[in-house]
Amino acid sequence: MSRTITIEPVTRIEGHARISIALDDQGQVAEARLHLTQFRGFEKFCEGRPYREMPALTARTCGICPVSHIIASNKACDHLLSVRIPPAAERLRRVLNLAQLVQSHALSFFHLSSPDLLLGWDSDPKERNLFGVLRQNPGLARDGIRLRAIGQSIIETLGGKRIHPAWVVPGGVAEPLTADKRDAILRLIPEALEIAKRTYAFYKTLLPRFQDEAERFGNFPSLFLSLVSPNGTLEHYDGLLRIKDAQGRILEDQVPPEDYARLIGEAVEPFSYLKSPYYKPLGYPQGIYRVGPLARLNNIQSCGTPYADVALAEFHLLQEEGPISSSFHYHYARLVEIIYGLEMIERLLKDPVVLDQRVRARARSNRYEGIGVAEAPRGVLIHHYRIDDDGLITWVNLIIATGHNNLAMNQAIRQVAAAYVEGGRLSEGMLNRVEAVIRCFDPCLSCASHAAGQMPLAIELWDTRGRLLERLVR
Amino acid sequence: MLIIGYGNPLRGDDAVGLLAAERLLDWIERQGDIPGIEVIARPCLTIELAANLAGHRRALFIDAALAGPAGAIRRRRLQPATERGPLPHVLSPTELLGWCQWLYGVAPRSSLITIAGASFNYAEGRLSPLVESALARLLKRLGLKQRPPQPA
Repeated sequence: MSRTITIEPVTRIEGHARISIALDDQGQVAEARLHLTQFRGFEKFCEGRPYREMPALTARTCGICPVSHIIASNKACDHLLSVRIPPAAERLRRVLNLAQLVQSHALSFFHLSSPDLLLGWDSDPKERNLFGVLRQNPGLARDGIRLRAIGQSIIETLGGKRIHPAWVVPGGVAEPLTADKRDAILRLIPEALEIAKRTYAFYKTLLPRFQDEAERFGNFPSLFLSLVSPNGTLEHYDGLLRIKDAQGRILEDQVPPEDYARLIGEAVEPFSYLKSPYYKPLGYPQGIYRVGPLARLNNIQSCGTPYADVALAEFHLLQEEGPISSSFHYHYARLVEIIYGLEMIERLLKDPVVLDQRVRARARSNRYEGIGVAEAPRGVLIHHYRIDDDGLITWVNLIIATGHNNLAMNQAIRQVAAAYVEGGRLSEGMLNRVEAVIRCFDPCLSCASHAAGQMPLAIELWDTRGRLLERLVR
Repeated sequence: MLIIGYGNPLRGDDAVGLLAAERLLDWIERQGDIPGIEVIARPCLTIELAANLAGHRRALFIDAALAGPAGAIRRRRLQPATERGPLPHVLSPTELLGWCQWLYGVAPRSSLITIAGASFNYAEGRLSPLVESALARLLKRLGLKQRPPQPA
């Protein structure tokens, strides 16, 4: 008798989702799906608005990564203006984007995933949270809180506020950086880097415990998509698109972000509001690819900063050859990127250009179509707008990082469920691992709201006639 | 002493705590730094504030209240929460003090001042008249002798 297991809601991710796992007559996993159950509608209700409102509007897509939307949206607006922004503005936007990366990765690693990593997937769910981490390793809990606070503080210093800052504007940034603010940020970096290095070293000591998870958590061949700099190093703000295959061959390189539609198609499935982007030349669903920290590090040979390059070399040793295929190693990649982000922020701020008073190029719209692409913490973020003669938006397409990973997340769930469901029997450990594999991708499904306290977790078993056979509630 | 004012700037009188902190910050900026006083304005209370709290002996939270006649100012002492649970995105002052105690082994002696709101409908940074006047009274009570200019 075939059955369906439903996990709803998935906890400790950003946003709300449901997982369903269908079992066949033999109790083996036949299908597994991630359902995004919220409809946001940003692409439609932005139509008719002036394009200059887009950064503020699209920043409200998310309470965790508004900075990423602000960056991509303003880049799309720069494109509409047909301007090249001043060098100081470009560097300052880079600093803001990297501060966002640091605070977001810190949230993912310390707050959301460290309870699994430290306490284990079979531990009591009531203990498997930040409080449990605090009891087990109080220093790690404090480090996570401090590192995130530093990332947020940099955003606040630059943008005026830590959530939805309006400092980035079409053509550059609204105000130049003062020496006092630069120095205040620079004073934070040594402490943050110390925390990042300490955490990285600690995580490496934990890794041998996770050989099973590394083997089974979304470990499959796929393509990898990311921005890279023109010389092939790590890039989060600008750069060109690169796609590598599972063997490490570069399929696409030096592709201007404005040509993204040549590479990426978007499929729609009836079971989710999340689109399923795919690599067009391979078709759907064969064109599965991953984005985010794992893809970014797989696509480069060098970060371009000293300590991150050492960590990158160690990252590449996780596998004998080829790009790292296990999604479990997103965690590792995040720690490498935190180090890189902090080193690069320091380097950018020590460049005297950042204090230049010219920070904004002014123009009216000079084209009807604008595309802005940046690397959000979770991967490539694409904003694409069309406007009319009055500068009003006529069409919007947003491809968010979590969307790029949709096909990969479904495959990862299927793999974990198949590995841990035995004879159709459910166990808390299996459910935890299914949730945990999703957390490897750190999906950001909306971030608009979260219930306070522990979310209920219900698992339902259904037969092929739609009858509820079993219901477990946590 | 740490003063944390918090509230939603888009929800009318709910913003009163946030505005109180912002006006205190404006005032302090004009006066020059006041040693020992830190003021923070936030839309909500998050775990990162525990580190700020740990560095002070006293803390004052300012928030809006649903109950009570509009403009009524209330003050009450707070104790750190002792019940532990998973970490939600948004914390209450007592939960935040609890996390401060658990994380850093200390929590400041704390109070919560609330101003009862009249309207929590959509309104960006605009308070109802009774709450606006209560805010001015509160700021005066906190030591601002002259009413600071309204934020733009």
